[in-house]
Amino acid sequence: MVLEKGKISAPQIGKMIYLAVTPTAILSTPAITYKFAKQDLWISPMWAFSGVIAILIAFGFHRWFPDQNFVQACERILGRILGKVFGLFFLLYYLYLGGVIVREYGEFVVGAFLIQTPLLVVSGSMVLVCAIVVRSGVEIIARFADVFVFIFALLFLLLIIPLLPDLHLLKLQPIMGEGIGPSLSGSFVLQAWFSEFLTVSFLIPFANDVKKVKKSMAMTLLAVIMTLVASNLVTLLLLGNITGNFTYPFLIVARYINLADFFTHLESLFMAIWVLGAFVKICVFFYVVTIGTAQWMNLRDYQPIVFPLGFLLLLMSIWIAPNMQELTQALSTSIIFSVLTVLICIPAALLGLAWIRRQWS
Amino acid sequence: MIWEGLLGVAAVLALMVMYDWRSMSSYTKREKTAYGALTGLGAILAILLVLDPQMPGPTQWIDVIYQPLVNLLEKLTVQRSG
Repeated sequence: MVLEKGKISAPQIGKMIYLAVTPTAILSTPAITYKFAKQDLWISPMWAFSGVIAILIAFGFHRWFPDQNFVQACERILGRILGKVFGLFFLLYYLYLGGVIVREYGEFVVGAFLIQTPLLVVSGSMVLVCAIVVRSGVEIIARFADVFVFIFALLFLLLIIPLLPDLHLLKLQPIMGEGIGPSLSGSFVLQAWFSEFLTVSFLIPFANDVKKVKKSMAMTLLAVIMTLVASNLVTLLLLGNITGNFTYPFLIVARYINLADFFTHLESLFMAIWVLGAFVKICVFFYVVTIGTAQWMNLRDYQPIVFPLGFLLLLMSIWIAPNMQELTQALSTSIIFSVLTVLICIPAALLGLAWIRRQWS
Repeated sequence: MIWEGLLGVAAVLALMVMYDWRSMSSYTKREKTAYGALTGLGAILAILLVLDPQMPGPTQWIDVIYQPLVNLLEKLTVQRSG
């Protein structure tokens, strides 16, 4: 039973995952990381342990259960009924994460730009666009990622380069003044974003050349780390001690840009980055939920259930939190723990179980 | 407000079903069942959300589960900044 007939290349998978991790990480992590890491903010993204672990887990599943994603592998490891229960749990969790992303997207657009527009309209239109893309298949998402990753990188550089003369290198000091402790605890919140690398497990079965995926994932991890180091470094060198006072420090950085009183209000560029990135990110998560649900229900085709799932995704984005403050609070505490549990600990335990079962037989 | 919300939900669902109606004949029975079940689930959740927007959601459940760990983390944070 083949649900998805499309094939995507290894670099496309890398770009999809890059855009599925970076956008929200640039937006919401610097403020939280700063609370722990202070001037070592820019070192934190380098401690990307959970990214490495997540990639290893995804490839571990792939080695023993080729052509299956880890929700399907669950069923093979735990048996039919328990596997279905775990599969449903993972799918609901992905739906929940999708809801969190849609909500973050909506709240940011409404909070920073479209102040008069109702949240439901902003997130609803995004979910509708993503539903149409997801319905068209994985190849279309991959091509969007192909195109958008360059625009994303270009706009990102356009934001950083005009700032270079205004950066004060002295704000870096003291580098690792208290050892690696602060930067390490600052990376805690980033671990949740890095564990989203596990999503690659859902994309590997569609790769036309699986061997290359490993290399492209390593490059993606490196690219994500470099992007976050760059954005955190710029934020820190420009804002210094006040980084922690803003919800979206990088937006403040973008607003600061003023070239000869001519190039101003470049936060609209940041908005473009954010919409492009969040679009691919929501598409990837939405696609994972859709394909997973179709497999879970043993459907022949996933297209019929895209719109009902989109409706659920939109509802989830409203349901997750009564207001932005509670979401931000949860994002810096309990959601991190839950992401680490669901995307790292449980899959690692399942992989261990698979290993034991293989040794047994 | 409640009536408007309910009407809105009904309108969105009606539009969705109308859009999918054309291709409905090509779906298998299993797909139709899945479509119906998911749409029904969405309808129930939407109505509940309209009736009680403050209904505790998944984030609150996660909060409850991880409360001990969060407390531990906050204790460490306070130590560092204070």
